[in-house]
Amino acid sequence: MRKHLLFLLLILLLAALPAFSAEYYYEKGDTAFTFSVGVDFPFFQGFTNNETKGFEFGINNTHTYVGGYGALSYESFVTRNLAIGGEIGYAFNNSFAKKILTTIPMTAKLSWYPVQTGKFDLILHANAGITVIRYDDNRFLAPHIKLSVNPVYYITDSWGIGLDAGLWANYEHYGKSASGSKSTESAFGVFAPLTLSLIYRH
Amino acid sequence: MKKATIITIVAALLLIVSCNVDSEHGIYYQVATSQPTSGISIIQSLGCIVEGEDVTHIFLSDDGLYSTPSTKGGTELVPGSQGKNIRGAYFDINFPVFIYSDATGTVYTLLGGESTELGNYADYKFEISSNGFAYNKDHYASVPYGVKDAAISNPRFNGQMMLSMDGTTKAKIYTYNSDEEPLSITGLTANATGFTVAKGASSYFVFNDKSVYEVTDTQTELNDETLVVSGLEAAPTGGYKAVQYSDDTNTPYLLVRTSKGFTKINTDEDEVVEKNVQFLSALNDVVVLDMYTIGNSSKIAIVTYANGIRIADMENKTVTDDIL
Repeated sequence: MRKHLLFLLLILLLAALPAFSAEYYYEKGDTAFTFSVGVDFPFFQGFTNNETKGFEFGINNTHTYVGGYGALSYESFVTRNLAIGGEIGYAFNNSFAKKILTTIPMTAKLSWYPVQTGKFDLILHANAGITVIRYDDNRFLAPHIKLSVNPVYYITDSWGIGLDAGLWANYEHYGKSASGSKSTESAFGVFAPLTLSLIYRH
Repeated sequence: MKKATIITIVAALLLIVSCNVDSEHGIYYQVATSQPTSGISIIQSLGCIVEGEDVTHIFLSDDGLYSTPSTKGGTELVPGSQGKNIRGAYFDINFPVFIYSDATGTVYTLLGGESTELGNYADYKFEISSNGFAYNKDHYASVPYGVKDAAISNPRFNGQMMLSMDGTTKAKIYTYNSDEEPLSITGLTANATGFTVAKGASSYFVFNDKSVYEVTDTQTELNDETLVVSGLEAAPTGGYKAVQYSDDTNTPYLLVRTSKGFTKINTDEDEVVEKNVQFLSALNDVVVLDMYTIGNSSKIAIVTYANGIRIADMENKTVTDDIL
């Protein structure tokens, strides 16, 4: 059984190899505009300096429900398989107290296109920037990163639809001089967005 | 021009960052400790009735007098507009009878589902507290009435105690005995911040200046002899809430709600056992109105303002979701 599985994996890998070959569809200077919308799953909150709270996974421990995520991005190819650009997003999740936690990330975006056949792209995105976190009249400006994988099928030469799945993380940092008990409340907020993406390229 | 743009961007960033400077808690901490709201605002807890395995909790919400268990939100005890006008109530489990007052100052008893008017005390602007005091809400220094046994009475009933104001805005605590002048608790170093009745004994735990004392209804001085523990976290708004319970070895404990969470005190040894009770930390930021034991068990009902009633099992270290 195990041998069969290994064999199957080997066949799939060999079949996929041509896609990773150096045949490029894109030219330097091509551009892509992407609109994504979907759901945002709470993954974990990680308290880095707290005796009673550590890394807490899932809805019941993060006290956050599944919410929504949307983003707009624009990129330009700097090589035949690398594109850079920018993205602005919006994520919202309800807490158990029925108050909305929102995150508005503004990031630089790097996309690698290891598979590009003209009809199908496999894209790996890496974003880094800042985000405004807002909850119950409190706001915080935090560093933000996002990693995602995005297979895209092109219906026409210019328009494609894809599925984008990944993780984003914010870090809310408070120093020792922070007011109240916040110095022990520095935390990562990590969420997993799953979105449908609509891509226009030319 | 370039310089002005940079200054504008930096100023905008500083403005955004500074928005959370004054808040007490971090955003993700607030989210991680957020609790579901029950949709019911409880304004007064009246305790519970235990019949075998069945437990009925009684509470006054901003919508009327209710009991559990039943459909979502409980069972309405006084129907219609009369129920919605109730401002304060007392449940005398020994009779058993409810005594309640409405917005007009009229006092009623509720016995076997039937309401009977006891009289109108509109001049006194009566409000009835959970421990059986009908007091004039505009004049805390005035002599309160006692309610008990389906009656309203002045003088009060033996052993009743209340937190009051002495007319100079300093909170004091009095114990009342019928036909006698009230005894004022002495030795207060700051405003009194609450009291709770000790279980199975005619004594009280009194909170003053982050310390807890145990006094009897005739022993009314707070001093080193009556001190149980000091150095508690500050009292939350509305004062300390506390409940005494025993574990299966009959060791008496006092569970105290502080501004930071819950503190467990061994009242035999006069020592703090656990400063921030870990399994109750999810309730650290909710408004607790009252706590009471369910029968003689080590289960404690924690009655909150907006997050319903939670049952804490002190033996198994678990706490339920809202039971409403």
